[in-house]
Amino acid sequence: MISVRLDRVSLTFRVRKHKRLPLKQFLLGGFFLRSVNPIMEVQALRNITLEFREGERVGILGHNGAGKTTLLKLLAGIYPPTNGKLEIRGRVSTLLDIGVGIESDATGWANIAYRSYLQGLTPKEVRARRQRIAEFSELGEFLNIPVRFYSSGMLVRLCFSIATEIEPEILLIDEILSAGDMAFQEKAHRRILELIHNSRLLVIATHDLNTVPKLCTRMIWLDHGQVRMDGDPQDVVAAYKEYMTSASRDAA
Amino acid sequence: MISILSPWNYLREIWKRRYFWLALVKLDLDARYRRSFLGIGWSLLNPLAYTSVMCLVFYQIFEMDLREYAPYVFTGVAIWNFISNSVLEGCQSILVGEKYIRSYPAPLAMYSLRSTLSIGLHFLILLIFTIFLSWIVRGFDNLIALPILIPVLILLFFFSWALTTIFGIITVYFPDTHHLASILLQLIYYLTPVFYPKEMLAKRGMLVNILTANPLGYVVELIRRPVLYGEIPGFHAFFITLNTTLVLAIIAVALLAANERKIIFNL
Repeated sequence: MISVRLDRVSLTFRVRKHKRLPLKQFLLGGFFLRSVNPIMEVQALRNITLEFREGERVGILGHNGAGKTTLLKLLAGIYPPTNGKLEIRGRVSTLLDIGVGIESDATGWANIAYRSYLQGLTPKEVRARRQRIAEFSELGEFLNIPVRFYSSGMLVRLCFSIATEIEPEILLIDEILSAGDMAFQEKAHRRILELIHNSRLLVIATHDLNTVPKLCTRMIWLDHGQVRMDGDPQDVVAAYKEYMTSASRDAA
Repeated sequence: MISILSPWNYLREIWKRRYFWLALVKLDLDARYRRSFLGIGWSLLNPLAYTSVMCLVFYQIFEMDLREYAPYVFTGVAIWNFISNSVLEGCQSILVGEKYIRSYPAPLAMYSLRSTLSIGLHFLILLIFTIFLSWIVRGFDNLIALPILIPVLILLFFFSWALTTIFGIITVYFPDTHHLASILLQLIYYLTPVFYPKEMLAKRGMLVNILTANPLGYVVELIRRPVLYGEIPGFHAFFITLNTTLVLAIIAVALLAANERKIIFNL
């Protein structure tokens, strides 16, 4: 049974005012460190209790900085919860930041392999997968040259093709991505829809109030790291819209 | 959750991704040797040039026997490069993995392992060259002692892995670690019998005391004795190196346990 459970989960970023302190300064002024480089706490998620079950397609709404991406990264196992318990049953696949994890000195082929190996696949399993990724990217001969020489459109094709060659159980998506030129975008869009339909549990963060809610069976509205509303997509979107218009009216 | 506190599971997670870090080690080697045989020659050039200069100087001043001295310096330089690379390249070991750490949860020590393997393979090439050199200059009488290199190299592998892990993690928090470490290394370099024969200092009591307190001297010993003199290194040298490695490993494990999960917030 595939499921995700968050039990009173909080996540606090501890950010230093000046990004990093040189070791020299730390050793010399360690005693006064607090005043030199104070830690600022940012509460990204507060006390969230949620349960997602197999078959659900959950949309996450919220303004910028509400904690949508943080929540997805937490579910992906990239961020640990500061407090609370996180329980995930099932294999997690992500479409978050598709551009990260590219080795620019290596060829397209090699990069395809790295990503698969990182997920724990063996060369034998990678061989078949590689063909499918290459085909979808339509990069052909270009896969033989280092990624450094790719145009940005080619890079997007490669990254997208690598990232979406998955058989998702739990699928996490951060915004529906727009990838490459028009023709490829069309194809990419279709592929994402296909993934969404094949996944057994979907969590998707979005700003889009038209298409995505129609895909979802449940919608969560995040506000300052807290769940503000959780329920039927149509209801949540309506409430969210109303809030947005009243907020902008107040501002004006 | 992946944690060093359950070591078996941790190692299994690293092993599960072996094709990943092996592929990256291969990428490192490709970059270092530029995919050509000349590339390997090129990497030998630096220690060879250093050895030649040292030979010239020491031959002029101390009238050293070069048959004895040249392989002595070359082994010294090979081991020293291994140690200092473990520290200096180790400083980057976690940061170069940043793009992967950001996108996929995996054991942190996997990234320092990549650095150690790249550095270690480079060292192996120099070591093999040294063995050839000693065969040419001194004959084959070291053959019986060479198998002892296997446990020595295994020990040095863990020694280096601990170093790359420690310095990799510290650098994430303090970006100038590389700079300070290189100054410190320079200091230790002169306290380690890399280019001067230990016997030269035998009569100067204090220096010898400092030298014997420097554990890196024993690391050098472990390689030099079997390769140059065909002798099994003393138990003492093994014991000290083993303890040094253990201390480093404990520090590395403690750093991993404390930072494995939260390092992402500092990248």
